[in-house]
Amino acid sequence: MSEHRRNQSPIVRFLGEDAGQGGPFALLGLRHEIGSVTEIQRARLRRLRQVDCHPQRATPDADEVRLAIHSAASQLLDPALRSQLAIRWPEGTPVDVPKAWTPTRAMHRVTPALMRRARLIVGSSGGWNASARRRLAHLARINRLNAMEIIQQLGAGSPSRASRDDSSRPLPMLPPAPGGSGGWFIAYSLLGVLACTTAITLMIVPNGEGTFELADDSRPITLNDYTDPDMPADTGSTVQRDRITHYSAIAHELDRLVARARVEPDAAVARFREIYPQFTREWTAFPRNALQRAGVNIAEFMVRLDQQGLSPEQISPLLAVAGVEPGRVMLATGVIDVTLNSAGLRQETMDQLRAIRTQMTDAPVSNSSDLSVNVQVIASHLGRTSGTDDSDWWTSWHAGAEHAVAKGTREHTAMILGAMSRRLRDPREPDHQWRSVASLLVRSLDWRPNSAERFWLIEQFSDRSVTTPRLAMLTEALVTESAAEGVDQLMILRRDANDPKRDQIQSRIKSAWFPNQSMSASEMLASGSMTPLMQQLRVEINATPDQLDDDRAIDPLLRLSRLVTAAHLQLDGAPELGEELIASYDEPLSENTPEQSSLARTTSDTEWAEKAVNCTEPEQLRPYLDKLIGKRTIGISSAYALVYLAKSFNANLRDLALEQITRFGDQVTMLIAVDHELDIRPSAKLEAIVYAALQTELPSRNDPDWVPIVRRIVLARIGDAIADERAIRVSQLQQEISELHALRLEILRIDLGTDANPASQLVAITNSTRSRSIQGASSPQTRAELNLIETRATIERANAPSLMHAYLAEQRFQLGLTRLDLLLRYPDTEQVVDAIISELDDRDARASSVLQQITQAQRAIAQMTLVELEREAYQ
Amino acid sequence: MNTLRFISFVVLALSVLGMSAQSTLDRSARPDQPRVYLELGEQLAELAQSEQDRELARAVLGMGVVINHQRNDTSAAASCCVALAWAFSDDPIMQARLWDLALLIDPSRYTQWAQYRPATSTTDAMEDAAECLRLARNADGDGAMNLYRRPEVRAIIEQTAQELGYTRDELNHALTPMLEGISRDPCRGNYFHRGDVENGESIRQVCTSHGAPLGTTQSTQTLVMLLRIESACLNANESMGDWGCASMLGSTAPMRPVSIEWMIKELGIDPERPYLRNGVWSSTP
Repeated sequence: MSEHRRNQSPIVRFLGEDAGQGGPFALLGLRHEIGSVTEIQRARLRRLRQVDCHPQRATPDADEVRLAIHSAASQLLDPALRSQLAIRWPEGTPVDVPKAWTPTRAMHRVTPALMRRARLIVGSSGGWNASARRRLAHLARINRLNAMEIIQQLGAGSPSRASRDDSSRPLPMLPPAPGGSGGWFIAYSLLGVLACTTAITLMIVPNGEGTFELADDSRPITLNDYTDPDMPADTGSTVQRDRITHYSAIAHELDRLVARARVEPDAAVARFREIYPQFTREWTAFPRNALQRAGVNIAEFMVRLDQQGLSPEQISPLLAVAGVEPGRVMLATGVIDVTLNSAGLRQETMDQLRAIRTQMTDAPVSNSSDLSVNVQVIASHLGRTSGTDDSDWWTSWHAGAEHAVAKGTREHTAMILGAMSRRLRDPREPDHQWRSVASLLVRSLDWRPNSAERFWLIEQFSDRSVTTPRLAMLTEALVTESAAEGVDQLMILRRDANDPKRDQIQSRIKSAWFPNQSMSASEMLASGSMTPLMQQLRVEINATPDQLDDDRAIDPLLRLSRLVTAAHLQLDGAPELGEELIASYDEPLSENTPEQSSLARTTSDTEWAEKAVNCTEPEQLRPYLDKLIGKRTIGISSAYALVYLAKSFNANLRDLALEQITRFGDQVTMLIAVDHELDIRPSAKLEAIVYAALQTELPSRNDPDWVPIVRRIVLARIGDAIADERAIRVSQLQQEISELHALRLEILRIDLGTDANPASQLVAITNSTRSRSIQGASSPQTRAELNLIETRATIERANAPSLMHAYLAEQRFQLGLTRLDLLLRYPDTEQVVDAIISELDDRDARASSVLQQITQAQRAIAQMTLVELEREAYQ
Repeated sequence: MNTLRFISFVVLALSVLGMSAQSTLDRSARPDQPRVYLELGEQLAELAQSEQDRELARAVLGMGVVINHQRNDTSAAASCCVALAWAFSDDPIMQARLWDLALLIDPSRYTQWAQYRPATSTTDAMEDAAECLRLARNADGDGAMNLYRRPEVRAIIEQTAQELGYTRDELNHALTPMLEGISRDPCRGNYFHRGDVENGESIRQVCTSHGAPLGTTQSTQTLVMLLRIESACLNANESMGDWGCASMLGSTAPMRPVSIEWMIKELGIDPERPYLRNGVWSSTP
């Protein structure tokens, strides 16, 4: 045995077998996935401390190990090198929990009398110092106890703590640490750290109140090894330190349970039943990385249990939580979502989990494997659907929501505003509970100038579905308790205020927060071109009826398209072009009706056709062709005659006829004559005739679908040619919209060529502006929304039977992205934007043609553009 | 004798299988076992022999889409939707819409969707329907009538006309004289025929036996109607680059997005009655 010890490397001797597996990860006890640099620093300190606690800490071997630790940490601090090393070296086992945390059979020997004696020792030693440590260690040794057990009891066993809420209960019990010979050293090191922390705490107590309260049994044990540096700087808080200690213990347990699930599933399940409820209560103490890891661990734990053959009835209830406390519900539901997104679960287990989830909440399932993201989605849903003013409920919700979403982010603002919006519309009479909740929620936001919450509040005053008593309490909380600047007592709404009074308070707040908005209408007109544009947009939006026929749909669509283009030109930095458009935005379409041939047979037409068709030589035909010079139309019989001649054996005659067919190729008479020939097998002559008329690329004559393909093209051309007045206007509208898009494309420096249709132009515009959304789509939730928008667009594009339908599909795609973009940039606009979409859905359902749908979609685009203009005006 | 025995065996086996499936269905089609809707729906669709059987299979699968979607099981809901699409193999439009719905429910099905969703291509019967109308316009009554006598061709013409908003009377009023009258036309589909002799030679003359020139109709309105039906039968909408043309000849029907609500309406199922007992949907187990 001693020989074996001598042969051990210094690393193994000082740090244990796990550390000696090779590579920096094992040496530092780190997994390959490292969340932050501080994790490495912590691991380095932890290992150094282990060395310092070793009896041979002063030997050259110890220095060698220290050097190796520093070197490993330096290597891992470089992310590129770290990823390379992760490929090459195994991951380490996180440094185990001190053995002292382990419940032992000796625990029952920690009697009240012994603890009284321990407190006496600490007190008589003058606090946590070397003397107290030594005497406590001696006390433990003579009682055959671990020193940590006594320390743990000192920190946890006071009657006052027992009466506190669940969040302050004792540390969870942890399994034994591997090894075990170093328990005393770790205990001493922890004691040392505790003493240092205590000393620092005493030093920073204001007014020199440095006397250590020995009787303060509620002071928790702080294990700095597990303290998260990302937590707020107020580490002097005892509660905070306790929670941090607690989270690391739970996290550690969850780490170990994953491994135990395969080896001893039944014991692991029993342990999980103890740990999981603690996790659902304490999860807000987990930093984001730890929370994500915990979620992954639990999912893996469930998968492993499932693979071990445990029945779904045994597995699924493990993730259930009872009650309606939202903080726990959002966490437990989020964990289920992570589990459902894990590969390897049996279908029956997934069904069971879904059933349990349905009982807990009706929130939509998240597709993310990140627990924080899932919790965010569920918290948002709970906030928006809650029907209670119960302050306990909201306190729990708020704690969870604040932890799931970083404060100050768009998602956080949207979540809080969504929750407040919902409660403000509850028609029930509010009581003091709502006042507390309002206070809690308004304090979550910073109300800085031009922030989303300021816009949101102004909108709440205008919305009559918001009840005055609730709004009154909110304004009171805002004025008296929030960080909002520029508000005073005069801006508190009375609970019994009538509408004029409510408008008055709104004006006061508006004046304080948005002084530029207080201008008179005439001043607004004089203030620049942006404001008249907004007014014109408003007028056109309001003037577009909810139901239109096709004739009445054309003009509003044209005007809305011009104004929207003008607005975007201004936003894109080309205001002069925008102003030109505004100046002529209501000009009607040009009256440019092309001349068309009559389908009626006339005498002169018949005579010309009979003479031409009997010509056998070019010279005979030329005089008749000369009569067509200057004519823009051709009779039906003449058209047939030209097609007949184009099939002649005489090549010159054919050429002459083909020239005329090309010349009159846009005439319905000529197209009908060509269509008449399309019942035979394609020949070179037929192909020449068709090409002469259509002047477009044709499929190979060997293509078995030649006739149907050509017929489709001919029919489309006939459709162009026989267009009635409305169809001609629709064609002109298309041309105009295409030109408007071309203008924007030019500003965006996108070249699609001259043949681009409005649908392809619009998708190019949308894709170029979409980058804004994609850049903002940092959260998986937003990416999921983006994915859904793209899927919808894919489906609609595939279903579009014509280019008009294709244009509508692109409009809807643009609307989806614009909505997402607005919500990302201005979270307070959610209600407004969703109201726009809702109104569009309603109007769209009543549209009886695609043209009417396009007009209504353009109106919604104009509405969103207006929202964007209004917001941009304040930036 | 052997053949008779074989047929009896097959009929018996199918009956047993059918009864087995039916009894399983009666026992298991319930919302707390959402996956069962998929399994039983597929089984029923496979065994279905009558239209009633097929409708039941489709209803079970449709209910599976609803129930699984309600339970946030997008994968199972999309699977039911795909199975439903296959159950509509005789209706490519419905099949395509159901594939769309499956993709919407579960966007990860994109590869399958791209591979299996029926493209909007024309069938032979659709092309024959378009040709029938073209021949009718061009005075080839025999050719047009030969095609029109085929039930599938007639059905497509009538259905397409109906989808475009024309009544059966309007269609018949336009088409019947063309089909019945033009077969006696002397030019037989040719615009010019040999006529009077001039200097000892016959000359080509315009055939004036038609009330209207070949390829046209008595009125522009009728011509537009026939051209619209032809365009729809040939899927010519995609070739119409011009919105005016599309509004004239193409489909101007509004584009409605697919949704679970749409499917519920199409299949006529009632989500409030998810339990199946003896072929009857019920709201209680």
